[in-house]
Amino acid sequence: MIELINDHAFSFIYYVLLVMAALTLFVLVTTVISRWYSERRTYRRELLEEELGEKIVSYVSGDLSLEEVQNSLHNRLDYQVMLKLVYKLEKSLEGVEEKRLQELMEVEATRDHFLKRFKSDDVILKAKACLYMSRRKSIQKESVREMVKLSASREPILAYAAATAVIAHGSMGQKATALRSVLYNREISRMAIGDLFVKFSRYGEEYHIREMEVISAMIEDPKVVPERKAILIRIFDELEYYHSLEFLLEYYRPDHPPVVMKALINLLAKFGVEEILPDIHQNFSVSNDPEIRKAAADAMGFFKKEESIPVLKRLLNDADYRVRYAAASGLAGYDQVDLMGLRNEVSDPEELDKLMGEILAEKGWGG
Amino acid sequence: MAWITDLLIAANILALLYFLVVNGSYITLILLSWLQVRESRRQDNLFDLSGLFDTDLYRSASILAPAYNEEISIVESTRTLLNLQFSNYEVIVINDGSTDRTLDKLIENFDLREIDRYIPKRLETELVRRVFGSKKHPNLYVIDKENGGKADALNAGINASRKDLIFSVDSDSLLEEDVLKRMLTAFTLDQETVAVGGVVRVANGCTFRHGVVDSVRVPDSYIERAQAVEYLRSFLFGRSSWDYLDSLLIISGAFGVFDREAVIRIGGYLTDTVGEDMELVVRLHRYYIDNKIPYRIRFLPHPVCWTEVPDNRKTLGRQRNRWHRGLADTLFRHRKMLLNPKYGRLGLFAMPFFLFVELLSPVIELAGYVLFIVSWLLGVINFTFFLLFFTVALLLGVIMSVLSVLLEELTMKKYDRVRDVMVLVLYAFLENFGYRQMHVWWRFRGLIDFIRGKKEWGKMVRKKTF
Repeated sequence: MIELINDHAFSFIYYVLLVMAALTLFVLVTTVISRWYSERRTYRRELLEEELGEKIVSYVSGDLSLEEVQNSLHNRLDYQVMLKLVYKLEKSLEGVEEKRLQELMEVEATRDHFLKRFKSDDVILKAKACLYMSRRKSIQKESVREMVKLSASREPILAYAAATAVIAHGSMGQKATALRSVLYNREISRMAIGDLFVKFSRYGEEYHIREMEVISAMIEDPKVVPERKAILIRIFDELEYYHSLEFLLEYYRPDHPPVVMKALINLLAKFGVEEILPDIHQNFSVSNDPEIRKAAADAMGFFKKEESIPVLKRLLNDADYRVRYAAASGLAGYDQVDLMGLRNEVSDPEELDKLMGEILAEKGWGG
Repeated sequence: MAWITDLLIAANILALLYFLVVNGSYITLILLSWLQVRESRRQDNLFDLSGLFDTDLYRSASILAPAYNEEISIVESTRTLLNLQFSNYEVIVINDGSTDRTLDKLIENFDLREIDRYIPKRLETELVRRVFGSKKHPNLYVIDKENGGKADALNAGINASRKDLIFSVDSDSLLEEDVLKRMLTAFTLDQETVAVGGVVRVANGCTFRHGVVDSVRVPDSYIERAQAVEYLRSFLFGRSSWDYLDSLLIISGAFGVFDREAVIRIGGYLTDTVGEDMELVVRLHRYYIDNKIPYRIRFLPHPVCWTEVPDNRKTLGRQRNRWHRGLADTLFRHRKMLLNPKYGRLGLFAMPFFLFVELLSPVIELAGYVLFIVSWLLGVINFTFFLLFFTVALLLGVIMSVLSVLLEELTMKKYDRVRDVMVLVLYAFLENFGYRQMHVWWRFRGLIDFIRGKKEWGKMVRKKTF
């Protein structure tokens, strides 16, 4: 082999150099073409954005008709730019202008474009089509049914996008099915779930009675894991569903898993349900789970009941710093507690000084 | 004498095979990264459409910026951190016992005052002297502590953090405004994500205005240009391909987001290593696999952090020496994972790759140079063979670098001018003459220093690009 290489080395070198030269040339040509194409596209896009932007603004203000805007749309890029502008404007408009803007989403060519994507096997294209449909005024019932099925997809992106569209267009039953599928899918993040429920609430009626019932049913669903149930309970708080109180009281049992219990204690305390105080004093404040003890300390700080003071003082010596912080913060809210005197109640007075310093500064009483 | 010849021939063939395998796997990884970057781009675009981040139900973040004698850049870099597009985040600058005016500059420019902020000792650190808050910026905190090194400073920042995620950045780096949102997409897409890394790019040569990149240009000097090519090859496309294989072992210390509780659970950054960033990631992998907890560690090619790279051989040599010691240390600490089927692709593919290709390559490459010269002097191979081998090695190196430049051009197009891309292509050739050999030497020295037990960080000199 060595002999063969020695004999033909110069030929090999020649070919190697040739390959390197070809490679460089290839990169040069590709770069120039790709740059030329990209810059041309960017230039056209910018120009289009300017022209179409003006037309869309005139259209939503009532100075141009839909047909006039439609006549300026000729190819795929035109439609892409139009959609981008519509998405941008969407958040800043309301009333008649918002409705007129929505008409643009219904342009036939755009619909056909996304319909093709919806039928493709590509998860991302399908998800994009679902998100487009979620923004449309209305879609066919058959499509909604299809999207309810897609919301059970194992692909988190697709499941999320399909559920978004179902929330926008489905019946309450379909919305519940889609949301339930998403809740069962453990790969979907809690952030995405939170986002979907916020959308669910936005599309609901004024008092959100039915939305609250749907969420309540999900909390009771044994197939929904405790972590997800806790998210749903926190969503009641985020969405300010005060009328969920009756359900929560009924659902409240001290033997729920810690993650659910913590969310329940937080919410019931915020809603001012003092009935949970005996449980807080006797059970939750001595729980093995530091998260529960912290929730208990937070709740006692919220209720400010005199009988909680000894419990909070005890928690100042808790093994977990978050519980100690919550207890100190809670005690700082009691007028009748001598904060300086608390130094005698704790094993680490210096730490308490730091805790109190921060808490009081945050409350605007010092620092 | 004949046996020496046979031995040298065998060694030459082995060296040739090693070069082919190493470069072949690099080229494969770069091609895989193209698929990953393309897919990531499509997903990124989806988030623009979905209207995500409209609510406050997202995870909050603490940006941790350790600073040691950074008086030149600290004000500008902190200002950039305060201008990020994200609703719920705090910036914690940790002054790690600087001996220059780093702290004074922060106090003067951000109207800092000493505040009471309780810092629980969930991770052991050197003494925290004071905590400062800013009247101008309610989400800015500065921790002044005794010097303990970067890892110790980061641990102090983790203790002080009150948010869900921690975002470690270097004080001398500059982040693009939307990085936090972009990094968070990985956590939003997948519930099991515990860490995400982003791209570190070379800032030298670029111009910046008010903390935002204004024009992207290649740097001026040979050593900086060679690094620009290297950053594309190793840090952008190399890591994308490991992400594709779900086996990412490194998240750059200059730019990574971690789940705070996950980091605390495994004991935070190790303070007795100079490769704390890689070590943390490998320990996270190990913890989650050992405890059979599903998790993801991701690399995203779109969030960008601009960093100033060394512009002289001395500083660069120190940096690479340290990186190589860090790599050796991490691989040694976690040797149990090597070729261990329990760790799946990490144990059977990523760890051996990092050991045989990344760690040992300087030894093998240097040995190769010596072997070739000896073989030539003894007449085992003739000059043409010597030249041929060198040309093949050069070609493979060039293919890797040129492919990276090409992929950059086809996917990111960060460089404003075609001229700059051509300069990078030129340096894909030129880096093989001088830079590559110096790099091998620095890394070889790093390995020797690791064996000797050297744990110094080494002084870095900055020239203020931002």
